[in-house]
Amino acid sequence: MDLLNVFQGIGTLFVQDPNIVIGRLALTLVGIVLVYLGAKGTLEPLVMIPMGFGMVAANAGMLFLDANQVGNLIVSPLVSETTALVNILQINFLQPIYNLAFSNNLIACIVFMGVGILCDVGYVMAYPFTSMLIALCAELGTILTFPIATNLFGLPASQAAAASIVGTADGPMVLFSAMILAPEIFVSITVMAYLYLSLCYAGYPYLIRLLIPKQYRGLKVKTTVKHNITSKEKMIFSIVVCTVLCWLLPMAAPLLLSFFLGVAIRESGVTSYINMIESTFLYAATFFLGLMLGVLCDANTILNPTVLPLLILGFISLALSGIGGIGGGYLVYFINHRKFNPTIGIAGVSCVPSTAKIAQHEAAMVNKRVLILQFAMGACVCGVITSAILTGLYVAVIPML
Amino acid sequence: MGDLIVALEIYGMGIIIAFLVAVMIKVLLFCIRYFERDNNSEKA
Repeated sequence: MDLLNVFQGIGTLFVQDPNIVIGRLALTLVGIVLVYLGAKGTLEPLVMIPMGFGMVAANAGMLFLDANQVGNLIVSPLVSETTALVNILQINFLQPIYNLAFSNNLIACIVFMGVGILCDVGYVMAYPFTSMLIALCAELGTILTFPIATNLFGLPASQAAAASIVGTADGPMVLFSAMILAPEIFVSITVMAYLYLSLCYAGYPYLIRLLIPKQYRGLKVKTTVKHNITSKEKMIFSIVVCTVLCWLLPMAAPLLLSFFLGVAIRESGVTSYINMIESTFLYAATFFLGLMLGVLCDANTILNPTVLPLLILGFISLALSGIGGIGGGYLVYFINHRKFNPTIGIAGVSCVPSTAKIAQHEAAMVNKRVLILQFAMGACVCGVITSAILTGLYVAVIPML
Repeated sequence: MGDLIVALEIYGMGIIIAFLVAVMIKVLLFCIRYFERDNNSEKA
């Protein structure tokens, strides 16, 4: 009896290309590390635990599909021919989720709806110009990565634009734009983007400490708002802005609809809908997102020559956006006659609500009495809006080039 | 160079739309409060 044919997960290691074998072993190890770091709380556990398990299973559980082909029974992202797709839908257990919920951005839109439920747009409405200014500065990476990708890395415009969107620090936005602009690198770019977004939480505090001296981080912000923003005003805001932005950027309409619908449901106070989206839809979508990203990380998909430039560009994009956001914080600090905390700038990078929490945490480490979370949330929510605007513009403009 | 110009054009359009949204928020808030004040004074 050929034991390598019985235990095919191990057996396939002896027949595959050595680079793929090393990749499989490395990715299995990375999966275990992600589960550990997720469980420990260093990385986002909601995404990292299912993602880590997915990576381990996809890379360890390889088998001989036919005489010449090695694969797994989880998902085959590269199948597109109709008959093959119908066949594979009946074999791979996550294939229906991939084709009917992941690659058409349904999961991204549900996550975005959940983000809308979590966001209080009251802070944006109270300080619209300040929040918008910070958010626009925090899109520096989204803008500058595009010429860097085309000129220095030689990527075509569509792939460069998809890589630039990583700078918005908004997972659903990256999924959405990559699927429309560059479906050929969809898998690698979304996996890389979500990995980096998890690392943002660990990296941005160091960027703040590097660029903002201690005495500025503890500054209190002077408030000037006389009226509270009511739920009715927020409802009107959500429907009007959604209408206008859908008129201007129909390519981003699914994301805009999802986000502003979430905002409107939050403000309507319909608790059954709020609970359904916040507790069920959002968690289910996040779980399947993490699992799907994990199983897509198999060595055959990840180890292609496009991944290395994308890894570098993703890092550049997020770093530039963080620097731009802090620059925006300084800009508002000077405009407001030094009565603003520049740490809020990092919240313009729209990783809701992580970057706002990072800003508050870093400020509170210097001055325990300082409360900047409301301003940071304003910038954060504006970051989501500016991200949707720039994604819509990229998706509309790039195919015209 | 051409790609940098494209990126800056996209940024420019983004800035215009973002500030349009900010202006819209201010106008919306003004209108809502103006009409509410009007209704309240009519009721009084």
